This record gives sequence, structure tokens and C-alpha cells, in this order.
Amino acid sequence: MDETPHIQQYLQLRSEFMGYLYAMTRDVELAEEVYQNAAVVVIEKAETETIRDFRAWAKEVVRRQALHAVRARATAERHGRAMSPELLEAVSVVFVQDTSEDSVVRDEASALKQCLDGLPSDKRELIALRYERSSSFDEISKHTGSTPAAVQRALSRIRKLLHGCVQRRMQLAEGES
Amino acid sequence: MTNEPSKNVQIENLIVGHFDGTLNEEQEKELAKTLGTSPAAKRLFLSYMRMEGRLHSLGRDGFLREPETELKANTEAGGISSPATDDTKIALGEESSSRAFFFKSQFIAASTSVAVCAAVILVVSAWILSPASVSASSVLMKAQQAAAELVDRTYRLTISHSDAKKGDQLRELTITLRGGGRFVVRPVDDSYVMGSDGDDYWLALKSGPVWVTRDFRSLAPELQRKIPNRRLLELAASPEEPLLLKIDSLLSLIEHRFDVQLIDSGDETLHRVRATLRPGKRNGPSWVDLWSDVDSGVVHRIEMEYSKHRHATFELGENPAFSDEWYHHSEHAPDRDVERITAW
Repeated sequence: MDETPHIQQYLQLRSEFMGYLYAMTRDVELAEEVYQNAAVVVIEKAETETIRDFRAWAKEVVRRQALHAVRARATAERHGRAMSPELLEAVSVVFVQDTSEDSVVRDEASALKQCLDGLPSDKRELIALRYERSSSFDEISKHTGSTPAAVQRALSRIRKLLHGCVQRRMQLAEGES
Repeated sequence: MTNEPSKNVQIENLIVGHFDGTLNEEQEKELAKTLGTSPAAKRLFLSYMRMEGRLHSLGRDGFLREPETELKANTEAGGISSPATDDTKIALGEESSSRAFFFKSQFIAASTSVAVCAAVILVVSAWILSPASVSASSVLMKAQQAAAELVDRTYRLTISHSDAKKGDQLRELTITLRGGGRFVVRPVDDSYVMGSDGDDYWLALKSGPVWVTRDFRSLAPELQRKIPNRRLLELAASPEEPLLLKIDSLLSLIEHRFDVQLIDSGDETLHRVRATLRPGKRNGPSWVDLWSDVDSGVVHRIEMEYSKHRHATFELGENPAFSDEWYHHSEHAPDRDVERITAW
């Protein structure tokens, strides 16, 4: 069993959990709130429960918190149409059943940093504008003097570039090991 | 017959569209169905999901923006650049407004859910501040954070090699490092100088062109073909050693391939971590000892053993501050032709 304190293990899984929470909520503030609510559950429950597989256990905590938050938000006006229940269910199943090895997850993180470093300044700036506070395409377009549709297309392309770069680096590393 | 590449592009578009929040109800159902039936789609979704999480985390922590926001013109193609389009040529605001935007966003992020944050921070702080809780991993993590700082640090690297025919050989180099991937390495005989300005890796001999690439690893085979005296470039030519030229890469290597333990440093101001290559891992040194400052995490010394006959030592020297330009090849090999080696 991993002797690392549970809260530290939880913090180490932050990116993975935030990815799932963002996929479920598409709202970074809500995702952050759910992540922190789940942290409180982790602190409370971890002292009283015997946990054999912390990652799997924490995933379940996060999944339940996410579903609770999504249901509670369903009527909020600012989010418009709620995500289809089929997709919510499918995303949660994919997340909970994910058995990706820790080493793959770590290598992906390292590859992403390298790929970001190779990104031209204008593209990197756009990514920063989007992810520092989950700014909407509309907000970014006001900042950059472009149109929301152009910002969305540009960001989609940059993410595909980054993802492709990460995958190539992973394949290269695999071939070398 | 299914057109696979086209189908894959379609799935990727659905996934990216999901994270953008641009899918309609029908597309969401289609994505849900695909995730339920296609293992490849699941893998793709998971890797995008992890990337999305990391980008949000890096953004929250302020690591997405370049350390010095210099919106310099990209005159050279390479890396993951693609031809500029109207969409990507988005005019960016003035530095000051950009900074203001950044700090504002940081402030907003920091002020959310303060109460819950405080609870988490208290628990984590208690763990970090407890002297008994210092572990090899936490020392390594702190050293990584220090290595990522935008501070110039100069190390002397000594490589000793015992050869039955030629006797003991000693080579010395100086390496200056700065976070953000910047470094300059130069042997004491000045036979070459090599570095990175954070974007490009470059290498220059005493004369001839400067070779520049976005991918460090692509230098080795290319240079092997071009340079007759390969021994000068032994460090650059090895598929494993380039990693070790950079402290932060070395630390990353230790994290992924080594078992680590905290051992007595003999100095209360320094932590000492012993890293031993895990069974089944072939590349890299068999062990690494690392001394780092207890307070700052800065690495003071590293010793490595590749074999009984081959050792390497990093030692922190004086730390003069350099300008940003110092990491560019033009500072070390001015007025030279530049030959760009395309990586991929």
C-alpha cells in the first residue's frame, strides 16, 4: 500500500481529476469547486476507511461529487442546455474504467510541457488566455481583436497540434526504451 | 467499407468539440455511443481529457505563459509550428494589458472557495512542515521546482573515464542553466559550445556554421554525419546523455527510472538523495547521489556512476546573472551561418 499521505496522493492526481471534472462540467470554476469538495471528503473519509487502491477510491469520490454538482447546476441559466445524460454517463464510465499506467500519465505530462515549450509565442499566448481562467471565446476575442469563431477554430487547431505532438513524443520515447 | 482515417478525424473533432462546448445534442449522443463501443475512441478521449486537465492546472498555476512574455516574431519555422492562418494570426494585446489580465485571473482563481482551500492547505502544510515527513520524493520535488526557477546557475561537470589502453581520462565542462529549458554548455578547452534559448537547441564548433534544431535528440545522428571529430561531441551524440546536461531533465529521469531514498548528507544544510536504477531499466547511470539545499531546494552537487570505470560529477559554482540573449547562439558564435536541422 502506498504510504504517501492521502491528501498528497490526491493532489498528485489533480490534473487527471480536473480533466474529468472539466469534461463533465465544462466550467473550470465548478470543476475546481467539485475538486475541492472532493478533497474534503478525501480528508474525512480517508481516516476512517481502509483504502487498498487510493486512485480508484478517489475516482469514485470525485465521480459522485461531479454527478451531484452537475445535477444541482442543471437548472442554472448561465449554462444553457444541460449535457446529454448519455454523454455524462459515458464520460464517467470511461474515467472510472481507465487503467492507464502511472508512467504513461507522467510521460504525457512531461511531453506536454515540451510541446508547449515548442509552441510559437502567439499560439502559446492564446492557450494561456484560454486556460488561465477558462475565458470564453467571446472574452478572448475581445482581448485579441478577433472573432469568437476564429478564436474557437484557432484553439481547436492548437489543441490538436499539442495532442499530436504529445502522441509523437510518447511514440518516440516508447521506441527508444 | 469504413474510411478509418476519416472516422478518426470525426471522432477527434467530436472530442475537441465536447471540450469546447460546441456539440449539439445529436453530436453529444453520437460521442457517447462511440465512447461506449470503440476502445480507440476511449483512449483518445482519455488522452485529451488528461491534456485538458493539465492545461487547466498549468494555467491556474501560471505556467502557461512564457516566463518573459516576449512576443518576438517567429522568423524560423520548426517545432510544432504550422503555417499561419487568419485564425492563428490573432493580434495580441499590449504587454501591460496582458499582464493585467493574467494577474486578474490569478486573483480570481485564488479567491474562489477560500474556506475549502484553507482546509486543504492546512493539512498539506502540516505535512510539509513536519520535519519527520521529509522524504526523498519531496526533496526531489523541491529540487525540481528550484531547477525550474528563472535563475542562472553555473555547474562544473567533471567526467572521469578509465580506459585500459589510454589510462584515466578526465573531461571538464561548465554548464549554465536557467529554468524554461535554457542552458549553455562549454568544455574547458572551448572546442565547442552548445545550448538552448528555451526554443531552439544549438551547437557550434570553433568555426563553421551553427546547427540549430527544435529537437535536441535530432542533433546526434545529423552531427555524426557532418562532423569528423566525433569525440568532441560525445556528450551530444549519446542517445541517453543529452538528458543529463540539464539538471531538471536529470531530476525527471530520476523520478521515472530510479528508486530513491534519503540518506545522511553529513551537512544539516543539505539533503542527500540516493537514486538507484530500477531493475529492468537499462538506460542511464546505475546510481545518482544528489545534494540539495534544505531551504531552497537548489541542487549543489550530483554524483553519478555509469560503470566502475565511468563517473560524472556536477558541482554548483558561482552564479553570475546573465541576460536573456546569453542563451542565444549569436552571443557565443556571432556572425556564423545558421543551419537549421529539421526535427519532425
